[in-house]
Amino acid sequence: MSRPQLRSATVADLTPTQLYAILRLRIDVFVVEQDCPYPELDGRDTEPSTVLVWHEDIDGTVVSTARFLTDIEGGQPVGRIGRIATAPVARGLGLAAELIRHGIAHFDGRPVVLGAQAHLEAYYGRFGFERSGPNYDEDGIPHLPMRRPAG
Amino acid sequence: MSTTSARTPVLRQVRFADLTPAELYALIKLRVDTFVVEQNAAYAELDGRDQDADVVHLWHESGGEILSVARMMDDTFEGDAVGRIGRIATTPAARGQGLAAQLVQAAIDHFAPKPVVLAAQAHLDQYYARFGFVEQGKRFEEHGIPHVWMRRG
Repeated sequence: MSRPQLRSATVADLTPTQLYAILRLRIDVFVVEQDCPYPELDGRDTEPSTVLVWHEDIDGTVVSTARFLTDIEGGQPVGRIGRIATAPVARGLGLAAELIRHGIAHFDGRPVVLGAQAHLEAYYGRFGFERSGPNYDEDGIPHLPMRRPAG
Repeated sequence: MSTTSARTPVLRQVRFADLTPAELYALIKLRVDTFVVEQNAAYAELDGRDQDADVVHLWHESGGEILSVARMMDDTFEGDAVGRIGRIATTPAARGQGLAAQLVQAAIDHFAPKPVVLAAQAHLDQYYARFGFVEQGKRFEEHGIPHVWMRRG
C-alpha cells in the first residue's frame, strides 16, 4: 500500500468532492463515533486564513484531516490546530502525527495552541505541547488547553 | 418616502459538481445545525448520496445567506421510479415564511409527472398531506425520531 499523500488548501480552493470528503470524515468521527451531536461546522473553516489539510489515498479517498486556524491573542497571531481525525481504516499509520508536524511547520515559529481531548495530553506532549490551563468540558468530552511555545 | 427592502429569497437548484465550496459548506452547516444539533441526533448526516449525478441541491438564499435547504434525487419505491425529496431544513430565523413549502413544491414540479416520495418526520404528516402526500405503511424510527414514508402520485 502506498502511503497516503498529504494535501492542503483553503476551503475556497477545494473541489466540492474534496470538501465533502473532509467534512464527512469529521462528522463520522466527531459526531457519530464520539456520539456527540454538536455543531461540527462552526463557520471557522471558511475564514480566509484557515487551511484544511488531509491525507488522501491513491483513489482520492480522504483518510485523515485537520485544520489550521489563526487566532489572535493579545494582538499577536497564534496558530491553532484542530479537527484532527483519521478514518478507522487508516489509524496506526502515524498520519495524524504527520498532520500535527505539518501544522507546526505551517505556523513557522509562531506559538501553536490546541484544545486536546484529555486522554491525548501525553500524545500532544511528544510534539512539544504543554498544558496551559485546567481541564474543561466541551460537548460532554473532557478537554484541556495546550500550547507549544514560539520557536 | 419609506421603502421596505426585505429582499425576496432566491430559490437555487444546483448539482453537486456545480456547487461552490462556500455554498456546499453553508448547505451542510444548516443540515448539521438542524438535524444533528437541534434534533440532538448524532448520526451520519453526510451519507455520500449528495455527490451523485442525479442529485439536485436546492435552497433559498438572501444577501449571501442560506435560509433553507433540501435535496432531490431519483429513487425507486415499491418498484416504481420516483423522485425523492429529503434533508429539508430552514434556519430558525427564516421559519414561518413558507420557504420549506416552496422547496417541496419545487421538487414536485421538478419530478413531474413522476411520483414523489419522502420519509417524513411523523409529526409533519399533516404538513406534507397538504401537498398531496399520503402515508405509506408503518411508522418507523430513524435516529430516535419517528418517521413515515409518504408518497404523492
